[in-house]
Amino acid sequence: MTVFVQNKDFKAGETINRLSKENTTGAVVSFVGFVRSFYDGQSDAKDMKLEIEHYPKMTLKSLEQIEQEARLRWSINNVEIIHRFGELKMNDQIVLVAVSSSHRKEAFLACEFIIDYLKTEAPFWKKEITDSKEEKWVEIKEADINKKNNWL
Amino acid sequence: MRINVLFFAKLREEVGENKLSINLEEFSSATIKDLFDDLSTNYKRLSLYKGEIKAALNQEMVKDWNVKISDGDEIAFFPPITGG
Repeated sequence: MTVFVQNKDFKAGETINRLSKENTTGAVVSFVGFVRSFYDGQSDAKDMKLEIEHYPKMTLKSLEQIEQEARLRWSINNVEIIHRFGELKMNDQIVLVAVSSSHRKEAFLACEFIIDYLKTEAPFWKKEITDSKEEKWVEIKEADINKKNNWL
Repeated sequence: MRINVLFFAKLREEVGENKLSINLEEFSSATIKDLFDDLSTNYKRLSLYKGEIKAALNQEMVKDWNVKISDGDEIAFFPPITGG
């Protein structure tokens, strides 16, 4: 597994290219998460920001555990995860999870599993900053907990 | 014994520090739960979040807060994770 935790943007195509190089890889499935407007029904709010904080020493450990869990369930070849931190704007890319395997089914399932676990287990926290500079830490969503628990 | 305590996100802001180096003889702490209770007496607003706070011991999530603390441990307290 390769993990990048970085402030700078990334190109999903480069990751997919890297993962496709193995002879036994017949499928690469990738997920990219973006910053979306957190105003209900107001997409014209251009100055909103998202600030992402993380716990560097724990991040890699937790992602490795998630990957190991995925490998117990499915036969996959490789995993690459990129997660950004710091200040991001609307439409910016936040996270990439890409999984390669011999056949597509395993890659689809493992990719969904990893992002579902990452959202509730990998030590990242998001803060929303509105146009008027109001700050609010993002609360954990019931739906995200349920999505993770569905894998148990 | 000496331990490091880290705070993240909302808790870091509430405590006003991201890291405390603590000599445990000054506290009665022996478990994560004891440590949190001791910290809550110094940083009163921590107790507001008691029900939702997560803890990690040496970068591993702690499910049972009765786990014992040892010299050199790194303990982190943080709100529920909102990654991805």
